[in-house]
Amino acid sequence: MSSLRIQGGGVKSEALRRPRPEAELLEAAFDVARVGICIIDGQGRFFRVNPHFCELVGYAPDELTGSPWTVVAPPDLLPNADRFLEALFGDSPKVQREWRIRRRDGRLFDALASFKSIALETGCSHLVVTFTDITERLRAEQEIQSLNRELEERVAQRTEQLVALNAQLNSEVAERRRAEQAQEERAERLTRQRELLLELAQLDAPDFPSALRAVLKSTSSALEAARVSYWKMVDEPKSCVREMLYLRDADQFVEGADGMSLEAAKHPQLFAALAAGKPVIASCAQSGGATNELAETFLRPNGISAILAVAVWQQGRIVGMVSAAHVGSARHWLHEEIDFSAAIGSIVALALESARRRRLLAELAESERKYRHVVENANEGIVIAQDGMLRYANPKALEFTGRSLESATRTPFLDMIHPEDRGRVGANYLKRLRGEPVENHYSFRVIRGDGSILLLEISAVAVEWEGRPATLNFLADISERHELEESLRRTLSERESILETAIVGIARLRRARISWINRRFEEQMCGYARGELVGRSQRILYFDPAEADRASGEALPLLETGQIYTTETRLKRRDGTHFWAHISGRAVDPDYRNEDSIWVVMDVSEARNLQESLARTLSEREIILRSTLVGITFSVDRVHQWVNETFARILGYEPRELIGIRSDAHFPDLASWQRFGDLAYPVLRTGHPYSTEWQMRRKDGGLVWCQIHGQAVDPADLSRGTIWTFVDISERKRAEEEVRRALARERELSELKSRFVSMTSHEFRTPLATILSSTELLRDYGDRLPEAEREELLGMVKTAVKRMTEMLEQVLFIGRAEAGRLEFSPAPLDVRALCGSLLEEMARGRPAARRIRFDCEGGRFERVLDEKLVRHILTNLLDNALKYSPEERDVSFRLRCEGERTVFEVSDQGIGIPLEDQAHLFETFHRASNVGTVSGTGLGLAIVKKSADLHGGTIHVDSIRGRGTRFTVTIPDRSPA
Amino acid sequence: MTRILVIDNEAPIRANIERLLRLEGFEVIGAEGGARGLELARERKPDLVLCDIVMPEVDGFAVLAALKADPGTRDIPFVFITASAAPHERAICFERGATGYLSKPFTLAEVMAMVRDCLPQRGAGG
Repeated sequence: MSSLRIQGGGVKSEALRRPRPEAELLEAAFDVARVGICIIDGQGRFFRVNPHFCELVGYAPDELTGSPWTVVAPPDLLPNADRFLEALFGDSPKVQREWRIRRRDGRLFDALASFKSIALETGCSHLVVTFTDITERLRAEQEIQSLNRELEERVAQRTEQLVALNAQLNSEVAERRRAEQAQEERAERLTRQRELLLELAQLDAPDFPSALRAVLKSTSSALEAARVSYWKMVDEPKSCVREMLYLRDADQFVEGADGMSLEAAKHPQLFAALAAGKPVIASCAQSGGATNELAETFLRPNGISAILAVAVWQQGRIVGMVSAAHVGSARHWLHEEIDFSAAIGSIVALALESARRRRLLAELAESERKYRHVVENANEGIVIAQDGMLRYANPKALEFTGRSLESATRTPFLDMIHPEDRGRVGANYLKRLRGEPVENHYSFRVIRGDGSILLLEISAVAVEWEGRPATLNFLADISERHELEESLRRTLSERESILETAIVGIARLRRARISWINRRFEEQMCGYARGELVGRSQRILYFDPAEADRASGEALPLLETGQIYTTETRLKRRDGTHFWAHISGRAVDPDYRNEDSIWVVMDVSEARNLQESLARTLSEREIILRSTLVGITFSVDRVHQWVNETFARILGYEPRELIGIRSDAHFPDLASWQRFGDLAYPVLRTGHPYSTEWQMRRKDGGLVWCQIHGQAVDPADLSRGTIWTFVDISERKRAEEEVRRALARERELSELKSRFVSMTSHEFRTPLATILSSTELLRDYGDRLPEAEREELLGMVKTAVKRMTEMLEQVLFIGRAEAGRLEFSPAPLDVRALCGSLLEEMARGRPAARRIRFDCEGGRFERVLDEKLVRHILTNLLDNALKYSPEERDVSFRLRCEGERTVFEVSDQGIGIPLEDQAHLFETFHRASNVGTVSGTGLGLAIVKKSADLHGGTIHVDSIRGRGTRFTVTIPDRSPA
Repeated sequence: MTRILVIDNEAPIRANIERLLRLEGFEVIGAEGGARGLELARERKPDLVLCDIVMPEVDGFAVLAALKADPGTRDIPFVFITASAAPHERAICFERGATGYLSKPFTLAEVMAMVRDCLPQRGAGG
C-alpha cells in the first residue's frame, strides 16, 4: 500500500510495477490538499485517508486506515450504513451532496462530499470521497441571515416614520387646499352676478314667458327686490302694460296684463328717460324727475319704496320695460345694481328676439314640414347631390336605390350607378355644378342594394344647398317602360328576319297607320315595293272600305280589353286585285293606350291549298299504310290513336274497335303488357328503336306471335307517341318449333345410335369371346382335354351362339316392329301351361330364375294369344326383374285370367326406375339411369310394349326408386264368345 | 409356380381363360366379381391379375384402384380384359395403372402373349 492505485482500466501491467512520476506528484497533492480525501474499499473500510481528512474528523491516519468508514458516520445513518454505501458504489460516476460527519470527539459537522466509485483491475471497487468542511460557510450564512433580519426591521421602522410624516404633509396640503377653496368660493361669490347675467344671456327657454320668468326671478334675487315686473310697450310707446310680476316673498308670478299700465302722457319723464336709454330710478326717499312723476301715482299706492327700471330695446325701438321694486325701508340702488339692471334689459330684449326667432323658426318648420310631406310622398325620387354624395334622398329615391337612408347618403352616389353609366352621370353632374350646358333629361341604370338593376330617368337642376352648390334631381323608374320598349325592339329586331320571311304577313298599326310591315305582307301578299306602305293608313289594305270600317269597329272593344280580334276579309293588292285573308290583331299595350296593335295576316287561299295538299298526302299515306302487310299502330301512352287494317287483322279486330283502346287489350295478360312496357320504353327513351318478338292475344282469344318494332316520335317526350309495326310470325314460330322438335328427335336418335353401338359392342363381344376361346381351346388343346371337357366347350359355344341369336332376334324384332312388319297370329292356348313351361326353361338356363314365385288366379286359362309375343313379354319382364333385384329377394309373377282380360303382373324388390326415366321406358335402347354395370340391350321393354300393343293390351308401371318395380300387362280377351 | 388371378363375371369366358392358363402350366384362381377378386388378390398374392372392366357392384377400375392403394398388391401386374368399346377406354386403363389391355373377343395366342409380356421375367410355371 505504498502508492495510490487509482488507475484506468487500460493501464499496462509494466506501469503498475513502478510508480510513475505523475503518481508521485499526485501523492504529494494528496498529502497537502486542503480537502479531506478518503478512499473506502469494497468492504467499507478506509483504504487511504489524507492528512486533511484526519484533521477534519480528529483521528490520526493510522487509526483510520483499515477501520470501517462508519466511525465517521452520524449515528442516525448507522442502521442503513451498508445499504447507503452500496448505493454510493452503484451511483452515477460522480455525486456531490452535503453530508454530516461525526468527529472522534462525537461532534458533528457538515461537509460537502463528492463520491466517485472506481473499479480497479483487480476486480474490486473503491470509493473515493472528498470532503470540504462547510461548517464555517453555514455559520456565515446564518449570520448574514440574522443581519438581514435586523436590516429589515430597521427599514420597517424607518418606513413607518416616513408614512407618519407623509400623513402630516398630506393633512397640511389638504388644509391649504381648503383655504384655497374658500378663496375660490369667495371669488365665485364675487362673480356670481356676472355669471347670472351670462347664464341669463345664454338662457335657452322654450318660449318668451319662461325666459321672462327666469329673468325676473334672477333679477329679484340679484337685486334683492321684492317685486320685479316686465312691462310691454304699446301704441308706439305711448303707454306700457304690465305683463308679468314676480313676487319674491311668495315666489309667485302674476302673469298676463292685469290692468296695471303707465301712460306716456302721465309720465313723460319716465318715457323720456327710457327713450334716452337711461335706467329710471325712483324712490320715495328722494325727489327727482321720475320719482316725482311716479311717487304719487305708482309708488305710494303700491307700497313701493324704490324702483329701478330699464328699457328693453329691440331693433332700435323700446318694446318693454323691466322694473325692480323695493318694498319696505328706503333703498338706494348701487352702481353695480344699476349696471346689472341695464344688462337685464338687454337680456329681456335677447329673450324677446329669441322668442321671435323661435316663432319664425316654428313657422318655417311648419312650412318645411308641408313641403317635406310633398317631397316624401312624391311618386318621383328626389335627391340632392353635393360633393359626390347624396345629401338628401326621399323615400321613393331610397326605394329606387334599394338602400337605407344611411347607406344611400354614405355611399358616393356614383358607386350606386351602373359602371357603364357612371361616366355620363358623373360628367353631367360636374357640368351642371359648373353651370355649363348639360342634358337635363336622360336615363341611367342604378345598381340597387340587392344587386339588381333599375333603369331611372333623371331630371336635374343645379341648386344651392346649405349655402353651397348642389344638384336637385328628380328620378323616375322607367325600367318597366324601358323593358317593354326594349323587349318590343328586341322582338322586332331579333325576329325581324323571321317575321320578314314568315309565312304569315305581319304589320304593326299605330293610330290606324302602318308603322311596320313585314316583307311577306307588303311585297308578296299585297304587291307593294318594300317600305311603300309604312306610314300609310290601314284602310289602304282593305279591298272594301266598308269592310275596313266594320273590322275597325269590331276590333276596338276587343283590343281595348287585351283580347285578340280575328276575322276573314278581302285585302287589296297594289294592282287592285284582292285576296281572302285571315287577319288577327292584338294591342301592344294591354289597355290599347297608344292605339298600337300588331296584326297577323294569312293568305287563306294558300292555307286552303296547303290543307288540300295535306289531306291528299294524308290519304295517300293512309292508303299506303292501309295496304301494307305490316301492322302499324300509332299509340300515345299505350293507347291506340290510329291503326292500319293489317294491324287490326293480325289481332282479329276491326280498326275502329282498337282506336282509343289501351293496348293491354291484346296482350296475353296484364303482367305481360306491363313487362313489355318495362322493356320497351327505356329503349325508346334513348331514341333507339325497340324490337322484339312477343305473343299477342287475338280478339278470339287465340295467341299470335308478332315481331314488333317500335320507335318514339320524340324520344325526349314519349307523350308524343310511338309508331309500332307488327308482323305476324306465327307461321315462322311454328316452323321454328318443328325444326326444334326435329332437332331434338335427331339428337335423341343419335344418342340411341351410340347407345346401340355400345350395347352391341358389349353384348356381342362377350359371347363372341366365349365362342372364339372355346373353339381355339378345342383346336389347340383338344387332344389334352378329357372328353367331358370337350363337350362342355362345345356346349358353351352353343349357348353363346344361342345368346347372340336371341339378341339378334331382339334387334330384328324391333326392326320388324318399327317397320310394321311384325307378325301377329293369335291362337287359343293354355296361358297357365305356357307360363309354367316358360319358367321351367328359364330355370334350366339360369339358376337365379328359381327366385320367381308364380301364382295364378281365375278359372279359364284358355286364351287366344300369340304365343311367341307372350313369351317375349314374359321373358323380358322376368329377365329384368331378376337382373335388377338382389338375389335374396323373390320375384313375384302373377297371372290373372279375369273374365274379359288376361293380366300378367311381375314385381320385384329391386333398384326401381327413376321417375324421369319412366316416360322413356319403352323407347328402344333406352336404359334407366340407375342400371349401373348390369348389361342389357335396352330393347326388352320396347319388345314388351310392341307385343302388348299388337294384342291391343296395355302396360302399367309402378315403381319407386330403391324399392322395386311392378309391371302389369293387361291383354283384352279375343276368345270367341 | 406362377399364380394368375382371373376376374370376370361372365362365367364361360372366365372358365376358358382359366382352362387355357392351367393347360399352359400356371396356377390359376378365378373370381366371378370384383369384391371376391380383391379378397383373393390379398390372400393369395398372385403374380398377375386378369380382370374384366364391366362387372356389377365392384368393377374392374375399382379393383385396380384398391390393389394400387395396397402396398402388398400394388406391384402385381394388372391386365384388363374388356368387351366394351367405350372411347378412350384403353388410354384410361393405362392412366389408372394397368399393365396391359386385352379386348374381347381375343385369341388364345393374344392372351398368352399378354400374360408372358406382363409377368416378371421368370420361367413359365417356375
